[in-house]
Amino acid sequence: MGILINGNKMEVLKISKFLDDKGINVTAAIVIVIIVIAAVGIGAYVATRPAAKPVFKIAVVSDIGGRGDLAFNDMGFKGGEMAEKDFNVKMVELISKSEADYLPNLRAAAADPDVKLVVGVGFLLTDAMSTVENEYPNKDFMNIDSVPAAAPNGLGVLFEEHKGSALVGALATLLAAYYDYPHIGICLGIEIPVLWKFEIGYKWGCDWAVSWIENNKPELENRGICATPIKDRVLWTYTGTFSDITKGYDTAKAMYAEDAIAVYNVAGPLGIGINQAVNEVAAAKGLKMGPPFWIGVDSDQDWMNPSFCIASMMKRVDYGVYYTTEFVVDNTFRDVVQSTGGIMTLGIGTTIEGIPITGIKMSDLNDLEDFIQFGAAAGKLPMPAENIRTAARALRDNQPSWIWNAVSELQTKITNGQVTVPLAMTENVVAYWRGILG
Amino acid sequence: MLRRLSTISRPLVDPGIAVILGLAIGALLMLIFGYDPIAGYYWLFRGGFGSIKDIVETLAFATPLMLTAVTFAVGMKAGLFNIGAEGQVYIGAAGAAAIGGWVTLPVGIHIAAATAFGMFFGVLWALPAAILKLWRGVHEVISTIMLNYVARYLAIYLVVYWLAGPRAEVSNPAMGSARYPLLVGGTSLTAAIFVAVAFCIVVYAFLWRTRAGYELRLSGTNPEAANYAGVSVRRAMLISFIVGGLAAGLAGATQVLGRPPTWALFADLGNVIELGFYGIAVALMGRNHPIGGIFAAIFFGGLLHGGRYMEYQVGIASELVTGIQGIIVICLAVPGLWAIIRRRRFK
Amino acid sequence: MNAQLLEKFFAQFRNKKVMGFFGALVAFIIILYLIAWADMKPSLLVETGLIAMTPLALAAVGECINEKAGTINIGLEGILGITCVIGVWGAELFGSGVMGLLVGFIAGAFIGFIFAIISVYGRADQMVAGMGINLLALGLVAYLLMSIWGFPGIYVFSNKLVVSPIHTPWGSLHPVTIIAIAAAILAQIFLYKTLFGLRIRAAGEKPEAVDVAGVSVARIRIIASTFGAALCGLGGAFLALGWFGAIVKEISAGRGFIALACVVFAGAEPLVALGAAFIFGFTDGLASWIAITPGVKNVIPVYFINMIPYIATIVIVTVAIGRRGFPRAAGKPYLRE
Repeated sequence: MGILINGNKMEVLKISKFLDDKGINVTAAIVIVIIVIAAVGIGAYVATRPAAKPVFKIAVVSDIGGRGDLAFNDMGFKGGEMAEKDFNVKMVELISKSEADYLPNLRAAAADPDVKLVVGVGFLLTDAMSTVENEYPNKDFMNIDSVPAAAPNGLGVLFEEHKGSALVGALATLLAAYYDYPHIGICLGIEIPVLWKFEIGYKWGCDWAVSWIENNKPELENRGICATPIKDRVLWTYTGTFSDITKGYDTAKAMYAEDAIAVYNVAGPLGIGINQAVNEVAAAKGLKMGPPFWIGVDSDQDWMNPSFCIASMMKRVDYGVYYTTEFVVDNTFRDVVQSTGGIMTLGIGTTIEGIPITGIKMSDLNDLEDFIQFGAAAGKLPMPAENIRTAARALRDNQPSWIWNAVSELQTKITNGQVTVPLAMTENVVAYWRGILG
Repeated sequence: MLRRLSTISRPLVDPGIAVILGLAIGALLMLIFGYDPIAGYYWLFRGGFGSIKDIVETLAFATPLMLTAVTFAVGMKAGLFNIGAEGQVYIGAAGAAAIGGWVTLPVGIHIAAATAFGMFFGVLWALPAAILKLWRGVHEVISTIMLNYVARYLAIYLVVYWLAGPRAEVSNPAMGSARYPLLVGGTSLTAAIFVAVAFCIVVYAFLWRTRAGYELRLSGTNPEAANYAGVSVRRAMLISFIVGGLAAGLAGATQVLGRPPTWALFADLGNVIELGFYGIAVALMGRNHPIGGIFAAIFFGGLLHGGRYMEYQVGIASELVTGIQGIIVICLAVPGLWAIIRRRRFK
Repeated sequence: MNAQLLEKFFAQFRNKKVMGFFGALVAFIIILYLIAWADMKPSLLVETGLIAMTPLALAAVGECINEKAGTINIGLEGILGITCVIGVWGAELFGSGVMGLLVGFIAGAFIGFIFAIISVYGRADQMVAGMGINLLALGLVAYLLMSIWGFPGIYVFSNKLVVSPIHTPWGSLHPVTIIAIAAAILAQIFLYKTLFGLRIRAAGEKPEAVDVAGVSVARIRIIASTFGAALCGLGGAFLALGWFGAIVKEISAGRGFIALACVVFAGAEPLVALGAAFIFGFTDGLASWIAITPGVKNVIPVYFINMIPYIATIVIVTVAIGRRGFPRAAGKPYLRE
């Protein structure tokens, strides 16, 4: 049994035979023909390409696991898009597929004559940034989440994630006390120092909230999370991945089964898995609105499930990119580098060069607007925008106002310096706080 | 003249056809979604091979690939489907990072020791699969895949808890005396490539110029004849696993000791993932020959490096390159593909 | 009570298979008790286990049929990924999650068909071709995510398209899970109690016999491969449309390989493969539970817990390995001498 392609077979055989007679290998002949066609095609392409006009470009180089996290990396690109609109620049993207790509990507970006600012999004790009910024001293470089080696053209932008995490930790704990749940949860990605800030900040916020309850709402003191031993209050784990959403689902499902009222997503796209777990619990119990809740990260992820995502810990990477671009456009970048010592730390209520730049914020309904657009770009929104707004408002209104007021109180205290949220960047500090808080 | 050309090129025909088919289907995929395939391929190949710096960068990408190709190729030569390079690379890298970053040794000895340690760890991870195969007949496809996953978690654990330096997301960077010197400034290519090429040549010599190598190849092509001739097929398999482990461990070592700017193993294993997997494609393109693997590795390295330009300039996701590799592998699976196409019939 | 009936009942236990099955069941119930005692809700674990089992079981049962007929397709991982993307695309095209599952099924069938053609007629090295499919999917899934929906790396689709599980007071059960279990049972019956099933098994064991009987070995293998991959395709579509409501680059996350392990463990018997799939799904969920339980997690770092499913696979396959079910002519193209 065979498959024959009729008709042209005879023709091809004839040509084949002809060439064979001439001692010409058909294979070689065909290869040569293909090469000629390719050469002609490429020549035509190169010749007809329009001459490139000089354009002011900014290049955003993302980290591995990169785009598609609906959080960190996507925020970086969002900032670039905002800058495109407001400053009339063009953003180009380079997505790193492995760590080996960092250097070549940064070099490719810097080598492009139109690119004036190269942004590296991620802690892991530090070394590569430090190398390339020295190779291209007339270009400006910015690194999110870490500090490249000291250079006049290199700026590191850090965020005070620990403070924001404390806020949402307090929020979750207050809710747990109100609804009589024994735990809150946090689901983390790969155990890197940046994530330690989230972990310890969250746990510290929980502790602060419990103290607050003891002082202000003593009637809730002996139940729910306040009754749980301090080291068991926060259920936490490092899933070891920023891409396997199954882990987010499994972890969250286990945490909700253990009666955690909220799971804080610190692993980018794993929020989808967490969301799935929440939906399952909701469907099984016939709930239309949380509890249980989950808490988004980096971007405002409330739009993904407005009746169950109570808030997000926004890390405004987009502002970092946006304002850095503004500095470059205004030619003040090098001055900023000098005045800040190469490190720009964005937190709650920060001001840089007279411009208020909020780096960290717990999301509210105003932020939701902005991110509904963001979500719409990533795919269809789970429901029409108007429904999202209504549901989110309903969810927030449904929680007693003293909870929201308490969180505001914490925010004020943090901004004033009345309380200090621990900043855990090294193993010793982390071990110390884990010893106290679990 | 054309006749001579055809004699030399005969063994290249099947991989050549596979590549052409792969690129053709890739072009089709580009067209379907409205991308310009000519622009795409122009930037892909120009990006990989279009300038001296880019060729050098391509060689840097090729370095580990030619080694993981050896792992698979040497397995095939012995009749095994050893896809454990992934995991062996992780563990080998961890081993190299341990010596390179944490143990101080005199210059010259340090780098040799770190590299050797990496290779040794690679073999360590190859042994479980070998033992399971020889003792219980567990098919190496299953055992090596599972071991790859176990290795991933084990390697992350080792980095985070044991090998990490002051920055917990990478192992302690290799000390200066443990680094392969940078060959060309402004690129990622280090002297590790010489070690890689040398290793491939040594494996070639082993397979074709020694008795043990001959026995290994015989066990692969004709186990019954080998047994009849008194050759221990089991021993050949064991040697195959060991050589594969050495190769993969070396690949891991090159990524730690021979790759700026970090010279360390990342906690998310980002600088070593997929190397084993790509090695399979490279080996097949090189017709499971260690030297052929070198050229195939350069080709794929070029595609991997050029992919970023394709994405940058034309907007085509660079993962398409991996997809094209997959199609090439599928085409290579069919023996005598060109002959079939020529005869326009399947027998 | 009729003494004869009782005797018949207990006589069954002399049969090794039945003993093995009951032994496993008893062991499982004991484990459930232990879990309840450790305060980790067993019913929820079973629920999670069933959902995790579904794609594994579909892929494994499909591959069992495939291997019984004599072809070995190790590209399950790739098929899961590709059919997931195509399934979601189909769901959006037709506006329905169920249609998406069907599209995934058909896409899997298509891939299985192509694989069969090149294996049977092209006499391809099936292992290599299978790895090729895996490699292809690795690139293609990411490429399609970007090209179809214009957003790299992830796609979250409308909740309307998600096929939801059925919720009962005792827990939730997904319809596709029921399909998976039914598929395993039907496959077992089909393979051993029907004529075509006999032919399939013969094509795997002794293709010469089939050929001599005048039946086309090629046709049997093509049909088996097509249907087997189709089941896998359903599993792939389920990942997004039934479980996660979104696609990410790594949506298959090694499940295809675990399904392969199930097939090896089961000796290509569909019902046993179903059991293996459940064990792996269950261990996966258990691993995540252990990872968050305060007492345990301090003793064992989470990384070792994550290894559990894979080490369990190796152990089980090593201990239970037997070529009992594997067709003798599997993996080799049939050449008429």
